[in-house]
Amino acid sequence: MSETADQEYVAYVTARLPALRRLAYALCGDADQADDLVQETATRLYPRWSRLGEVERLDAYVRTVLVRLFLDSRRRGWWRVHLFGGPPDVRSTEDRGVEDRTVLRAALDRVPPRQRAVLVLRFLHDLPVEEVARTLGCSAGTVKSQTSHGLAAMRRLLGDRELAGRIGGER
Amino acid sequence: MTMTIDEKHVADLLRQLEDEPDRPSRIDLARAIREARRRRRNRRAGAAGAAALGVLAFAALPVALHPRQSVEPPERAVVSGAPTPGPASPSPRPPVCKGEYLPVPVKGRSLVTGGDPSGRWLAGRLYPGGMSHPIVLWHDGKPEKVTLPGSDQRMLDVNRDGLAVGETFVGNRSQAWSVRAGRASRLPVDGGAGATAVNDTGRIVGFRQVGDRQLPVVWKSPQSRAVDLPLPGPRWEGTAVGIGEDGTVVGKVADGPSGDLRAAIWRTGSSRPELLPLPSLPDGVAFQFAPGSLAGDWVVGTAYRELDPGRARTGWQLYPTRINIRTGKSVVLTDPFHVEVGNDRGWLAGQARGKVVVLHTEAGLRELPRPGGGGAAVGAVSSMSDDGHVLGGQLDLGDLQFRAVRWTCR
Repeated sequence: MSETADQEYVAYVTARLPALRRLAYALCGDADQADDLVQETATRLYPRWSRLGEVERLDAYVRTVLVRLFLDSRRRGWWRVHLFGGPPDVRSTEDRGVEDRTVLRAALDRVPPRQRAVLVLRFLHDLPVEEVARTLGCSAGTVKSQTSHGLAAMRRLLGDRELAGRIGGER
Repeated sequence: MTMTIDEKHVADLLRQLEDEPDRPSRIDLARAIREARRRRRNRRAGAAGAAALGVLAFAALPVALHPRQSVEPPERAVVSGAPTPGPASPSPRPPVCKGEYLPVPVKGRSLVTGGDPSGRWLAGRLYPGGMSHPIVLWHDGKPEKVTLPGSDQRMLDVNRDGLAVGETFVGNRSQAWSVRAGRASRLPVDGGAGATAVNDTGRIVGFRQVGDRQLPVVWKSPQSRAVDLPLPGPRWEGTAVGIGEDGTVVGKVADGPSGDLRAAIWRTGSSRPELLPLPSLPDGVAFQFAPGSLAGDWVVGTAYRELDPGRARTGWQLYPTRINIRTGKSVVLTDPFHVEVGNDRGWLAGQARGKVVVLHTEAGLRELPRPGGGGAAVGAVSSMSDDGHVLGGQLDLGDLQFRAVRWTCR
């Protein structure tokens, strides 16, 4: 790949890093794993970069790579391996909002990976059903039912915490 | 998608999680480039493949199941309006269709989730509130309500005897159920499962859930225990999506959870599945094909092509496609819609942006009418009878309202 293409690649990925880290973090719920996921996504993107050219849908492509890597890693149990070691991402803080987010994140982490991916893409990234279906390689109907299953699971997991009211009140 | 109030609440909560990790990024793009180049070198040197996530190496791909079949060029149906050769007595006259709302026993939202080959039975569900949806079976338009435990209940298929099959979500997992003559019974299987299709002899197909994997299964009858259908290799997974009257099963399978989707065929008397050849498309070959259902000898589904790099856009182009399970011949449409159902005559129906529902026949593509007339609307379709005369679906009415619809075409 030419030096110019390398520079464009670095510029593009650097600009997208915050969004990619947010997506990866929402999916894994762990900062280390999230960075591993983004690192691997960037690695997979590089060899294709020169062929991708000028693209309107590059963001969608990169997102798809990341989400599929996430699902693949769950399936293989890879996520149990910590490359960089360290404890799980527990943060103690006085900030009630952060504490609530930690509870939410723990709940989300217990939703099966595919349903979790659907919830994250639809509600955190506001993607339409059809876009999520393309990302996951399934039908729009499956996305809808996975959304429904995922939301039902979240509701059950959060049900007795009265978390909803608390967060709702602070918004 | 239309959401209930409860769903909306959880969705709002989820939006709290939009934060980045609060520690500095460890991402190193120079390392990504070095690693990518190393992998490319290794591939060129004939190494087994790139290590995923930089660490784990995987076994070589399973041996291909069957030699690559020669793929006939697609019978390039089909710029809209052009006459399309169909497999059976084509009539150039477009069908004349009318839509009507189906009656429901409980006031509120409703939709159709499946139907039988004769068009006399339609299955759907009701929305009295919450996540639990009573099932409704319409026989010649007359509704009967059936209650299943759990939430997100849906019956995906019905046979000519009115035996409906589907799934519900109980506790943390799916359960496969059948419903007939107002009575519901759980399909015997270990662990989570769902049923997707049934034929007139009462054979049922679907999947069972093992961890994150779905594995295709068949129930010989609603009382029989589920039997696994063999897969092409150890990592493959998927679900059966259709079953023919002779027992031939079609599945949507992939080599691992991020593998490209393929259609697998389990023929009666054969102990191994076959992967259908990927269809040829107007500008190349599909990299994946997602089968949705079986209609006579045709698998109906969506073919995906990666848009040519170097062009001004990338991503995927989706083609409504049917593949003949006897000949492997594929017919690919270039009309932009998301195909959901089809029949043996080669009709396909699905959703298109801003349309009620679109139906593709020998006479081209046309939009199905909104019940009672009226302007633009958005809907969905989920069943088509063998003769194409009855389609089931829904119309979105705005304000979170939608209603089950039956279209009859002549």
